[in-house]
Amino acid sequence: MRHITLKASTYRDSVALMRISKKASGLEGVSYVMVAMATDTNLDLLKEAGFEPAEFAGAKANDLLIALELETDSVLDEAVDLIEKEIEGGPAPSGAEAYEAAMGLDATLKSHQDINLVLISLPGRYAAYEARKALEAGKHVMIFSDNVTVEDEKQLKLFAGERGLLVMGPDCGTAIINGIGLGFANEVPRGDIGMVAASGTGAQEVSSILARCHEMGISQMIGTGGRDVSREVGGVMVKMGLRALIDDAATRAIVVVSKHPDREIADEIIEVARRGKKPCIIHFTGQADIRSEANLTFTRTLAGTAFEAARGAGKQVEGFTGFDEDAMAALLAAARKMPPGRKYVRGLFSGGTLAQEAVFLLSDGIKDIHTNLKIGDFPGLDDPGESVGHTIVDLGDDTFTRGRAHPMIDQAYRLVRLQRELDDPETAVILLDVVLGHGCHEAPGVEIAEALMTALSGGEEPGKAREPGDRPLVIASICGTRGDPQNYANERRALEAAGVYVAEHNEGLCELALAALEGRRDG
Amino acid sequence: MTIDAQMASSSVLSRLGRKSRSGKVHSSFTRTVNILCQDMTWICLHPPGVPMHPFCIRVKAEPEMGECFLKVLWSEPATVSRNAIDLGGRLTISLEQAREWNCDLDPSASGETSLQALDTIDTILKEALIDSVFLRAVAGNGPAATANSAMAGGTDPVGDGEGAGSTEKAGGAVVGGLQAVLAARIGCAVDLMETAWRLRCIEPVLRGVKQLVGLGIGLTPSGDDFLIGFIGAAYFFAHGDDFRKSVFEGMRPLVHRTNLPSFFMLKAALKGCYPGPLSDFLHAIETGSSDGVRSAAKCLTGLGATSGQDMLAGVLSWLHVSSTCGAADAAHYA
Repeated sequence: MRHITLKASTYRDSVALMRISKKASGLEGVSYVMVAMATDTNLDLLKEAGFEPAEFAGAKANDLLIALELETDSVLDEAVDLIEKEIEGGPAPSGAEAYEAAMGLDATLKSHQDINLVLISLPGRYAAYEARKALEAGKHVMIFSDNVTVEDEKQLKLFAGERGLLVMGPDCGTAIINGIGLGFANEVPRGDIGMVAASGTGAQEVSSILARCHEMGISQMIGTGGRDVSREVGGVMVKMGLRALIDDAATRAIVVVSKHPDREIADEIIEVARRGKKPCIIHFTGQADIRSEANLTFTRTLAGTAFEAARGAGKQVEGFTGFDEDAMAALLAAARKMPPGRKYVRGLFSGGTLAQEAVFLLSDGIKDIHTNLKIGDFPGLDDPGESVGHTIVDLGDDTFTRGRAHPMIDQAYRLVRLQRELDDPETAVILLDVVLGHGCHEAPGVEIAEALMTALSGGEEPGKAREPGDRPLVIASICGTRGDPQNYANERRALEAAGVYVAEHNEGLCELALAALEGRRDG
Repeated sequence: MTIDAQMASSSVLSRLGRKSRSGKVHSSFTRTVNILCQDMTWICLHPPGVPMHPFCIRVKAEPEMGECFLKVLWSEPATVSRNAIDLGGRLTISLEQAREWNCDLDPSASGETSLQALDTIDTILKEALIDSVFLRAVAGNGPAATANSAMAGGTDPVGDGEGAGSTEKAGGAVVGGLQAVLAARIGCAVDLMETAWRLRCIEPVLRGVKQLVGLGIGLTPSGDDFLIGFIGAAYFFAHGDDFRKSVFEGMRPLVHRTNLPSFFMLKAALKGCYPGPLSDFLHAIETGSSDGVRSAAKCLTGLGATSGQDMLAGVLSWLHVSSTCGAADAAHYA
């Protein structure tokens, strides 16, 4: 069925039109949506595609047209209703809410003097301007946006530092302030471990393991954005966040999580932590050459960081493996049955820090891991869209997210890539991180499981179903808690039902991968 | 309230005389106010951060500016002079301190770097995995390839291109819906334009242009953005070419076939005025530094939702044409 909605003399900017198109396309029963201006050329196109000219009679080039192709009539009303609402700007707010929505940040700050934090999620080029306004009004700021210049970031942070205000970000994906999760935060209980994180999924992994495996909670999680620890920005917010947690009576132990920082900045961060006297567990991904001392513990893995943090906060915790022994036995048995041509690990990660940790941990047993992460001496990928030998890709990198959502929200590209790795006769092991939490995909594990089951059963060509011995092994870890909106247990069950070996955490995932490769060689 | 303008494009300033003219607000968004004057002068007000383009006046960042833009009503009367723009008495933009931004592209390139640039851009596209129907058409592994295969069968490639992408011709049966028809049309039109330009046949080039003006999604239809990129590259790299000049002349009457914002952009492109990121990209290609091309391409593809990507596709299309349009061919078909 085909349908046209026409809006006379209506303009919306292209980004808004794209959003409307994507939202309507997501409705079940909608096969295609085209949001365009009613130019003669586009009207000819509609005729050619079988639309009735009577439906757009009198349309002019400055009118907005929405052409819908539907699989069934029943979805028509819903689709048209959704589009109408989106064009008008979504469900119309009323009263004071409407006034604030229209009047923007200045008016909202004036009318709500009690607001103490502003979350900014705008295209990068506008974010710094709005952040400055919020800081001038005396508010802490979290900037979810990326593409803010390093100069703007530094200026904002220096300006905020002089006033004792936090600037979390830019590109800060996760924070938990006074028990309220911001961005991609997991549902974790309040507790006495404070975190300063220059890495989003690193913070999620540590806080989730603390909650799920050690039953520990978070006092505050201050995100800083990954670039904070660069020489240009100088670690301004990591150091400020650390000092805030040192002074916070509700925080008993502090965790600092960061991707590989600039060495000089790392030293400055360590010095602040050293003077603070509180137990401080520091994880700089990939940097394992710093010796622990007095109140400072340096960790090599994110799971180890959670373990040490729990101990630092006074909990008697047992060490635990990152995988089930039965799963390990089954994995080794399957690995031995694989044909010798299957020899490479392919990691398709949505979390940058998880990908980075995987590269470092896997390099203990594998040489020449190719990655798009630009870390250490690891060889890069000429074409990040193609795996070469052992490959770990961060699918959240800018090259993959330009023009589409982050893979923690939309896995479309990851599933295409998964299919490609499954089809590659040289793939031995596929690694996946499944990140849960607020703001993330509503059921990433279930979606992966469905894709795997379809692919391994031959999809629409059952004759192409793969023999159990001729499949790559798929290993996943779930970063999340049982309180997360996605339902942790369901996610795990779905993955296991699709034959995925599920590790407790990212470190466990790497251990399983190395064991599988080793088992293949032994077999 | 009065806000100072920081910068104004040369094409706007050159049209504003001492005598004021009347117009109206065509449309307003959070970051844009579009004004249409009775003498068909088109002006866009933007805050800092939005790339400059041929009709842009960039106003100074003011704390209350966002609210002011939102208060400007569509169809509100506007009075425009060399010193100020008044919007219904609610907002005045003072032009007294506005610096002039030269939107004219300096067409001084030799054109010898095209092949190298093509390689660099191909690499960038692979790295960026940019998903634009135009880019896929130009890259030759998407709709263009489909359209080419549909046209295969010995027909003259610059002959009857019109309608060659129709669903019937693509195999005698309906092969898909609106999306397939759109992709096939784009493929055919781009292919027609490229082939005809190579063979220097003006009439089929213009037929391809006619098929692209106003075609596709977005506020400024993708086909128009593609053409702006193509026109810009041709203007820059083949400025002195008489064939290029003739094609541009032939295009002028065709650019009315779209909506107003797009029409003004196309009209400016034919005069040699382009959005800043497109001009920067063309200059980067000329210098041949792959880092420079990569960085300029990133800025360009950040324009709008798909506009920048479609412009890049247009540039790439022209580079394909120029790299395969050898001197012997040109002499033979001139």
